[in-house]
Amino acid sequence: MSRLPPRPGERLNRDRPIAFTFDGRTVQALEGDTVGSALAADGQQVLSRSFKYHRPRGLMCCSGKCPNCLVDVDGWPGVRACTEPVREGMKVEHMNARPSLRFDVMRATDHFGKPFTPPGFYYKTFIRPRRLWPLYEKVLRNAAGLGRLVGRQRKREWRTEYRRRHADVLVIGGGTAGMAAALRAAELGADVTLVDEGPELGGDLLASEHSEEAREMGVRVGDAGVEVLSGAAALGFFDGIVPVWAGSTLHQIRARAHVAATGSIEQPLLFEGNDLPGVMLCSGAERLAGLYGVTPGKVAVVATTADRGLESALALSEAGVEIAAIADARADGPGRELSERVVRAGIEFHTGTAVVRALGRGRVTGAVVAELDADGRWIEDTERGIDCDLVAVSGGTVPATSLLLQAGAKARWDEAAGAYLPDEPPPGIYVAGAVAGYGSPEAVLASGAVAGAEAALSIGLGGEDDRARLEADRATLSETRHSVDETVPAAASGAARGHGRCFACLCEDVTADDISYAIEEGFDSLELLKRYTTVTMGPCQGRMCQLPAARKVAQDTGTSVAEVGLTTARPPWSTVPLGVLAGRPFEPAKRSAVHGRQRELGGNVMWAGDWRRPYDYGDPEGETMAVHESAGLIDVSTLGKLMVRGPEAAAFLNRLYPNRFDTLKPGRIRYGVLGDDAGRITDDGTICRLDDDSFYVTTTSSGADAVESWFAWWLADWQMDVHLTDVSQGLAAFNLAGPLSREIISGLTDLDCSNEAFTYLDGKRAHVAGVPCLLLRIGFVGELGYELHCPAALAEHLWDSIAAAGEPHGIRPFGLEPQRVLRLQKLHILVGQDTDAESNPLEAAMPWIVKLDKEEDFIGRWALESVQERGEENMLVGFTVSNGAVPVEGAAVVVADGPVGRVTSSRFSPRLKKTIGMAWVPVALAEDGASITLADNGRRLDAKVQTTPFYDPDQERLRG
Amino acid sequence: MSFEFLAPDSAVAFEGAMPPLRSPVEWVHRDGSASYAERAGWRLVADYGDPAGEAAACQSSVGVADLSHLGKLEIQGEAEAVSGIVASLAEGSVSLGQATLSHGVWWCPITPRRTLAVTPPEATARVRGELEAATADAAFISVCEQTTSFGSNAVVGPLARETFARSTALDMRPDVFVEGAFAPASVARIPGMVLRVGTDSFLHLFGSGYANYVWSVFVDAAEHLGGRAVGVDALSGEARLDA
Repeated sequence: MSRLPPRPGERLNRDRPIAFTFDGRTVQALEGDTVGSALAADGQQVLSRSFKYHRPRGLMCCSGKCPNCLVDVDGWPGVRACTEPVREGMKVEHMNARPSLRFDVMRATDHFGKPFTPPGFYYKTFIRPRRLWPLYEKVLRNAAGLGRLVGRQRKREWRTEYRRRHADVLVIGGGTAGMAAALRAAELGADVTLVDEGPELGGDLLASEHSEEAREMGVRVGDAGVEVLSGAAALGFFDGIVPVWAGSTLHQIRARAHVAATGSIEQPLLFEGNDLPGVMLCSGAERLAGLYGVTPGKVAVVATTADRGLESALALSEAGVEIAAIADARADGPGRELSERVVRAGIEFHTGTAVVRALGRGRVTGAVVAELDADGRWIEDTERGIDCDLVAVSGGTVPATSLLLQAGAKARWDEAAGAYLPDEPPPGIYVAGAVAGYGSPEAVLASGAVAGAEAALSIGLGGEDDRARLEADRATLSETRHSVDETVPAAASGAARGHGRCFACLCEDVTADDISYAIEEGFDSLELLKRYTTVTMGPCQGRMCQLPAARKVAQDTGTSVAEVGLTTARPPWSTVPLGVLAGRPFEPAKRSAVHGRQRELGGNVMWAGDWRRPYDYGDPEGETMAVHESAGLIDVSTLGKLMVRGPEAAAFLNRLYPNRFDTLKPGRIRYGVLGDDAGRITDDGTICRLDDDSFYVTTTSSGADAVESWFAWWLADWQMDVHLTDVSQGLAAFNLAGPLSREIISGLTDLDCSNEAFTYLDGKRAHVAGVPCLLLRIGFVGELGYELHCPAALAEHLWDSIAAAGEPHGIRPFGLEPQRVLRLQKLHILVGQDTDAESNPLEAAMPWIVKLDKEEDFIGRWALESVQERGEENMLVGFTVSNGAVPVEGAAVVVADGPVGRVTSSRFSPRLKKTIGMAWVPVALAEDGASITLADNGRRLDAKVQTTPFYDPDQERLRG
Repeated sequence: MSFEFLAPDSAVAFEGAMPPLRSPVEWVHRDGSASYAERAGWRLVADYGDPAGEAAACQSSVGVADLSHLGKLEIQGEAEAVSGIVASLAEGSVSLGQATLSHGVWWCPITPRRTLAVTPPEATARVRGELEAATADAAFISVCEQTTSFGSNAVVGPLARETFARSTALDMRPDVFVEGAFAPASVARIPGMVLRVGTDSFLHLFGSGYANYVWSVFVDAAEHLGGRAVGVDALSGEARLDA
């Protein structure tokens, strides 16, 4: 192949050379070239090797639809060379051939592998002996696939993101019909987005003599305020969201109305050797010549089933390609006007003939043409060989209906068009252009205008004049010749004779014989055939092969194509990198107002639910001891915090919790365990009564959202006079705990913190270090302590003030890990760790919290009454391990017969100098001193049950 | 018992100085080149060392500024009662989807029963007092201080909508999301609220615990579009919600 002289409408900038490498060899290109066109200009005809048989393949469609030109570009596999623009210095390499593209050892599968790789060979071969499967798997995995990914990648190197776009009208397809639709809709005042796969608007016209008109129309589209996304592939249709991939962005487009102007796809023909480099679609050859100034061949044979093949022959002839012959499969041939043009051009053409074989090894060197009978089968002894280096084929066109079908439209077989046309599109979706079956330029243009107007009017835009104009346009359209003048392309002309293969599916190397074979085996429906042979499952996704496969099925089963139908259309319609679908990683994380201070203090920050929290500050044992010996300060801002206010607030809480809150006095605190309808523990926390009508409820950190939802749900159901406000993130909270905590806090506040004035379970309001606080005297960690809740904006000042005041006393910050040890010493549960979905408060050793003598009903009452009636079966108890070993959390409690319980928490206590824990055990073992055995990763540990707190069981330190 | 413990402006002097009020991302900016200023007791980032560039970003691309110091007050009650109170104080009614600006205060209806008043920090105490007075005799309406429950960012500039488009599906087209439009929405996978305060100016509200996360998401998106983080001085008075 070589460069043609400059052509009108070409994409090239001949003054800007660009160099890249292909398999290490430098290739000179021009700005505007694609990798494929540059390689073609350079004489490189073979671009890839096919999937299964490793047959050489070359440019065919030049529009990104077929699989023949997949290459690796700068380490990215699966790039279509025919649409990838050249860049200076890009490194292009072949795929799927070893050791080289020129000589591929795996071509042996084509010559010798047929017995081992029949259709569906994965169900037949490489199965026995079964013990060799690991070897088969390794061999097959190495042999299969196209392209190689990087084995290991330390971090994401490609930034991708989502972009959400709303529009009044989304037009999919930037050919004439799409542009007409966009213009018309914009004219009616719609906010229009137009997406098109190509690098510029204009579609197929860009490669024709009408390229200038097409480009001019594209400029008008931009001037009309339409947002144009070029190089943008619509991937699917998801309940009104159309994802469109362009570059590094996935546009999620939500439109009120849609126009599908997705065009049609030229189809190949089935004959022996139809995959040889040098066999191209007519449109592909035209694009190569018209857009990129590369001659697709010196001498061509054109095989066609429709007028477009002849038009293409004329265009190629005008570009300097000698047309040796046109084989028109139609018995009657083209219309008179076209016939005369072909004759005037001096081109020999024959009706009722077809190419039955392409000749050559590694590339086309000739074609065999034969006459066809009335059934489209070639007549023996009529073959004639013609020397050529290009076979340009046009097997008709197939409307690109996949997106429409995904959206809910039906596919209707149209005999005249010889294709499935979209039918019954859902409301809000309009169809225009070739995809709707319109063939003439006038009809395509008119259909676009009609669709655009319909879309805009359907969403309330435009007025009566526009409606009148639409009716006139519709009338014009109905008068315009729009049926696609094509004959039904001949099916594969008999079985392959000689040694050639006739490919129905280029992607998966499925031949026409393979299809017949599979049908003989019983896979005689298109859906079954697809799954068995993998036809239509390759990179083209059926663009090139679905209709030929359907015709073959119809032919072999004696049915009609209409009866055969199509396979289900599914997204993505175009191949799309997973990185694009992933988008930007969003990892929501909550951080407290003193998070910065935690990091400065050396906190080991980890995930705790959806919060980032310090687990310790580098010395969990020391932090634990500080709480016992002086004072510790922990950030508990992550707790859920709810304001429950109203005249029925107490009654509301009474219904939600198993204990009473109407008897709680203002300024006092009570522990609460929340349960569900089945009496199972779902959360716990404290409830402080602020005044007669106001309560301050805390929850676990990870349960905050669920508790708020639970409260809101029941409030909506019960319609009580209660207001619920979530202040979880608005208030910071710190727990200052330890024997010196009173001394520390007293220096920061005017509040009387004596034990008499501020007793255990009191809640008081005061300024601490100038900060307005709600102080709760509670004790999760077992020492004298105060929980200070304050506005988050003042949290850092409060933390710093407490730390400064406590420094002379040896205060230390402590994290989640020391807190876990401290609370375990007191047998305080962690909901979700020490409890599960079956745990109720009675069996969790909290019978005192369940007030079955409450007059009013409460959530889970009947279930708890049931438990009380039947008696507890399992109990949550504490245990100690004598030898100091710490069982893993989750270790089983075992008896002779097997496991009967499990360890929920376990730690070594530096204060008590022994291993302590909590476990669920059968009620018979739930007695102080009972011996239990723990099975932990193969070892057995002897433990003793303890039902009272390990540390300060009489709460003298806590209440002192 | 009072609810002062919810209100950051209820702080009193300690050791001769008022405790400083800090936004939930104030600590993040200490690592960079931020210049701080004090406003109504709040430590704010005035600029990031390039005031001219930051102002230019707000005019030509997009600027993201931390406005977490804005006051937020939640009024909750029966729909009719809430709308009546709000109408009297806002000197105009509010309806779902549309907030009302009155004397520097944005009255934002979250649900028919719940309205959020977004105030300049100097006005928060006054508005809270007005609300408490207005609701004192009303049947069961509660006023709750929520200033520190929500972080807030201003996203300002011709590319503000594009910045939001990276993390929300809210339709923010000018003709759809008009000036004063207010909507709860999922933004960056968390619950949020968006208010359009000007031609290309938006206020984004979110749980203050997420402030650092939201800040990093939006600044990243802005920078990718050619914008940047900006201090409050780069914003117009309208975008800053000046009193």
